[in-house]
Amino acid sequence: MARPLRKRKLDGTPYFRREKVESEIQALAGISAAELERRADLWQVGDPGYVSPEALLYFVRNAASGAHREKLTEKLLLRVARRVPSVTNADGKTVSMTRMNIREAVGDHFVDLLLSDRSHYDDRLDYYEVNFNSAVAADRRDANDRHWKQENRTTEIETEDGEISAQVESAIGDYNPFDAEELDKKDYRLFLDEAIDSLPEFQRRIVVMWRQDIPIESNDPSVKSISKVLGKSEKTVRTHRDKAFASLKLRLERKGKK
Amino acid sequence: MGMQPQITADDVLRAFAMDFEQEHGVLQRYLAQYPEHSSALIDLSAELTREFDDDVPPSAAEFDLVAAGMVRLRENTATLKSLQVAPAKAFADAIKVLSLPMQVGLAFRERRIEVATLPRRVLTKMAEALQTSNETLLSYLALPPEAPLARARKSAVKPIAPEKVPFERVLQDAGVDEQSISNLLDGE
Repeated sequence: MARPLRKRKLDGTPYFRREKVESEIQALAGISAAELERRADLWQVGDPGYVSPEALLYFVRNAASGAHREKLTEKLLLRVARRVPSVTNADGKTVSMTRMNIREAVGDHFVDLLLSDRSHYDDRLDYYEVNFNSAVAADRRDANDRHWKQENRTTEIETEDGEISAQVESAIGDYNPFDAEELDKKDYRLFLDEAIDSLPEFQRRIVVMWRQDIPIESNDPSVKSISKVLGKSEKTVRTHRDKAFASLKLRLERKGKK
Repeated sequence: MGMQPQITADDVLRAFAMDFEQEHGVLQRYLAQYPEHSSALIDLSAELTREFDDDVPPSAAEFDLVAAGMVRLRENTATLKSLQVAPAKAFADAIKVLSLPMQVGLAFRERRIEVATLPRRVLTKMAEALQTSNETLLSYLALPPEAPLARARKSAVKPIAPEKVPFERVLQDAGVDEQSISNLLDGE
């Protein structure tokens, strides 16, 4: 069995690798170092020899220092780099300094963890063996939080209970940016994420919660509603959701995705 | 009531990230349980659903990030201070590159080796494995020898001050065979 994880959940029970990863590690343990390096180099998930980042991390953490570990580490860092958004602004021409900082912060954090893990087992790396992409997503959030704050991004001034114009209302109709059929298309999802990023913070949070089926309003005190979480009236939330949907629709139409 | 271990914002967010794909309604549950972290949880939820295009080949920018990371990993050489606080395991693991028993690694850690008797090649290999420079390892080994705390406590008799011994003696005490010892010492 592969070396067990030490990180514990909030309830005190240990984290485990997914079954799939465990058996992948078992299988990979039987191949040569050179073959492992070759396969770690494959970057397409669908490739038959593709090594999951979780398994790759396991081998990086458990390899003796030397050329083999170096090579595997390089491939692993590429997996992190693949999970940090591009630094190009929406215009496709200019580069955002903040995005660049976020990129570096995510990369640096991972290197810090590797270094710390080398000097003494660092159980924070265990998260990445459970779900690598989710762990990197958490790093992106950390970096976003720090760097966007530094840039002091101005958010659109929120109009309290601003009436939504009849024009906007008719433009939205029954438009739903999370239409299941559209969401099946990868390109659509890529553009949708970009469009959501560009929304003012308040609207962005409404949309993110809406996407996770959080109700706008609820009479059940145990159920968290968007209105309760954001501390705004149901009407304000609805107005801003509609505004957000109208912006998303417009942006996606411009990209020819709707 | 027992003491509740301190749960940090980071603990909550990482746990949320790990639970996210597993079940429906995870955000709802975490918002109800940890209202103090709601903004961070919502923002993390957005990151967890972010799409990446895995079909395009790695870009130059991605390779740049990798290169920068590799430089940092290679340059992070252990300092004299970090060697002093390094766990015994670091030395036990390092000695494996020389295929020597763990006791020899511990002799390095406890600085029980006479530096003058240490073959250059062994020093270099060990420094590499400990991710430090030859100079730093030499400075470390030059510090007074030290008996590990645990061993001193277990001892029934008053422990005598540890002393530095020739490398050959360390190898003999660890049970390394004569042939291997002479290979190591003459392999200069």
